[in-house]
Amino acid sequence: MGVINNVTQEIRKEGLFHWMLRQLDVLITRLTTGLNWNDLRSMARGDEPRRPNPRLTVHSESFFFHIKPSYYHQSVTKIGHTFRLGLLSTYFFLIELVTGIFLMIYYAPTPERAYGDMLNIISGVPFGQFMRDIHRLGAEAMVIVVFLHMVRTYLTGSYKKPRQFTWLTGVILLLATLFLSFSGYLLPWDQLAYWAVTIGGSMIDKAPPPVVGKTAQLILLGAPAIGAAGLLRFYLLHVLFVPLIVIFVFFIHYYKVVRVGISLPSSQEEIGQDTAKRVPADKRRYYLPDVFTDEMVFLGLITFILLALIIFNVYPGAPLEHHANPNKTPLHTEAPWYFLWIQGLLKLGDPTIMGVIVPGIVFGLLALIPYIDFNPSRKAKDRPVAIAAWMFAMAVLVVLTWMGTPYFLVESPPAEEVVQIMMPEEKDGPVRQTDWDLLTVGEWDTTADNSAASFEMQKLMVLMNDLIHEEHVKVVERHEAKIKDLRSVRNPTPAQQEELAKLQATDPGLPNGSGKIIVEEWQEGLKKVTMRVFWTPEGSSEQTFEKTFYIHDNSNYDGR
Amino acid sequence: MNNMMTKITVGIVVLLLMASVFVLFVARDEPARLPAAEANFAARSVENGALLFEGNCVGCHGVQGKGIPGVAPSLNSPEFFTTRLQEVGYAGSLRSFIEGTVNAGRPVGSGQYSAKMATWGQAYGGPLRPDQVSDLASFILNWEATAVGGEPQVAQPTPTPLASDASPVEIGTAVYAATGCAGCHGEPGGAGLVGPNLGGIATRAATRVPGLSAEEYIHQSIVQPNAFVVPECPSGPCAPNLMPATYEQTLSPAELDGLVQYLLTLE
Repeated sequence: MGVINNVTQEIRKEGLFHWMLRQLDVLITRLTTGLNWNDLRSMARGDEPRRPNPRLTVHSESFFFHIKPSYYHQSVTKIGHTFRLGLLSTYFFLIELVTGIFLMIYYAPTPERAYGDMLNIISGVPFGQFMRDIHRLGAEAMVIVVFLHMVRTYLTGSYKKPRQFTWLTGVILLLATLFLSFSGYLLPWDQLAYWAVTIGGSMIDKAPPPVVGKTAQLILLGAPAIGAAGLLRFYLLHVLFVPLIVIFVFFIHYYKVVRVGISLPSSQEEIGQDTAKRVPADKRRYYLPDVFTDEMVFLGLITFILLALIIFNVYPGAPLEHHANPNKTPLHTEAPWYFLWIQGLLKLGDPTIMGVIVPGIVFGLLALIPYIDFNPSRKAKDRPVAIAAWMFAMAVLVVLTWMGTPYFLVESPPAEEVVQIMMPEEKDGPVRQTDWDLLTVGEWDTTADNSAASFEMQKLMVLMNDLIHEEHVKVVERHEAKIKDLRSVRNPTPAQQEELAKLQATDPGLPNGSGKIIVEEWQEGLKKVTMRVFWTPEGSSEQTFEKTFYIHDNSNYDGR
Repeated sequence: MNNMMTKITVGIVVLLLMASVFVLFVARDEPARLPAAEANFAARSVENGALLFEGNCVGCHGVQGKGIPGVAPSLNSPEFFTTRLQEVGYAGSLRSFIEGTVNAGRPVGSGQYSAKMATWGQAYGGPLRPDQVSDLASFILNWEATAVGGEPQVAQPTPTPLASDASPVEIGTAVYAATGCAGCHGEPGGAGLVGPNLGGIATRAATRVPGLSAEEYIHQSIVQPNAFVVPECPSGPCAPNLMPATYEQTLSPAELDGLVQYLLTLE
């Protein structure tokens, strides 16, 4: 009864309205762990805090704020110093977590269900495709951001004493990010997934000595090739194990960052100085409200850019190719872009050395940089070797990435290439982009008069003719370059002589090439398209390459 | 307005922009996008099914599913879509009937058709994945419009460009592809699906039946498949009556000879 009496007395004294306002203020103070309504308003106005500073209470009372320092040195909070890339990496991880859980609801990791579940996510789940797009873009952006974060740390020399271990945990986080992205690749169980991961899996197999490689591959895939067991393992790694590692290592990483503080610009801080604890009072910039507001506005802007990239189709979206088919290797299998450099390395030589040992050394060196760099200065002008090494590494990375694409050293038969460009195995291509009704039924020949066909169909025939010519020239140029190389050898071995004779005897490319497209009405809304490429090498009979496709009026690949 | 207020204002404006862009460009289109995507996938399923049908089914069910008399029934006839389920007393949908038959095969010949259908589904020891069986059903069901509309499909086999002076081997290669031999025997040198693979047939044929040369043996095996049934099929010993015995009627002498000559090159 006493409580009610007290309340009644209070209400009598203050009036009901004021009493309720006071209770509301108590509620706000509880929710913000220490800030009342007037404190919030003074923060928004940019006023000085009252004494004792209630904003510091938040850092000791709130779980979310206790991991953040209550103030920074003003020099490190400028956007141009860190670009807030660490915060951004964490933010992308959270986005992946949320969108990933959304996608998990509709997905089962078995070969029988996975692909069908993807179709359902796209065509049956509201915002399903949108969530996939964000999840995919977020993953790729995270790879970029984590990489840039590392580059920034390297260039400012921030990995040096006392932050060596922070760098080491950062390299672990980089590896985990790459593996998270890569393991997610397999889950849609489409052709893209299956073959990209097959390449990756075969690299693990090459780890020396053979017994280790074979065992590691068996542990990862659960079988000699990717199948039900491999899918389940990749799924568990992707949604459970690697995220746990990331969370675990992240807290170590971030604890170190807070403990030793973010490094000041190299002009203001000597190596080994511990700035976090000795920030002069006039250089302090408090987390609440200044840095907090900056961070929130920054993340808001980044989120808006992500959204705009997806909505306005700047980002092509998460692809979904045909169902995974172990019996059908795509014409060009390409690793995800962040692993193209390894694919480029693989083209250079032995897979054990190029695919396992070299990347292993690269990442090993990366992790050990702070322990092998004895240069006591963090200033760029005192670190010519380190900066030059970085520039060299970047150049190598770019070149290797280019070498990883099909543009480098991949020779597929030119006739197959022509058909692949006209009518790719995946995505749309010129034939599928043509309006279905305008694919005129009939037999069309690049060497004949096609005026009976629709204008669009005639355009396709012209394109085919051009492609045959282009591919021919490309192969002939490559062929002649090879002959030239072999001729320039001073003392050719018998094998080289034999190869030269063989090269000179062949008539490469698509000599006297021509093409045919046969369009047949096949079913209601379905046309059969047969593409043939003919060519006649000198001293040989006519050769043919043929491929058949079916095109439905309503299949609308739309670039995917 | 001070610095802090500016930032808060920018933040709120960005949030509002995001919300409106999301509603205007994503949420508004979502109710129309879902059925459209579903229709696209249904169409792609028909496309996939058409390729599978060409690779596996035309050997028995004929090009464009018109059926081969005495071997396997037509799949694009009006009866198939209207009365077939009642005939066999099947209570499910036509799609489940097709998928069930493709998956589990048809172990009993039905009198007028000689071939027993093999089990095609992976779960039953065949080569096709569940999604492929479903794609095949989509393709077969897509005949309904023309079948029930009463216009029988006119078979138009893909014109094969053969010069008039084509050699028998060239003719035979084309016949192997056009007749759908690969539907059961697979591509030579690959793996057989129902019947034995024919890679190396020329070597095996010479010694298979005493008294018959390789050429005679291959010819006999095509026109009289039951004269000698080999023991090594992909799923155990080959069964008699599985291969159509009609090729003497359906192929011209030149085509038959070409096919034999072509197979003789597979050493």
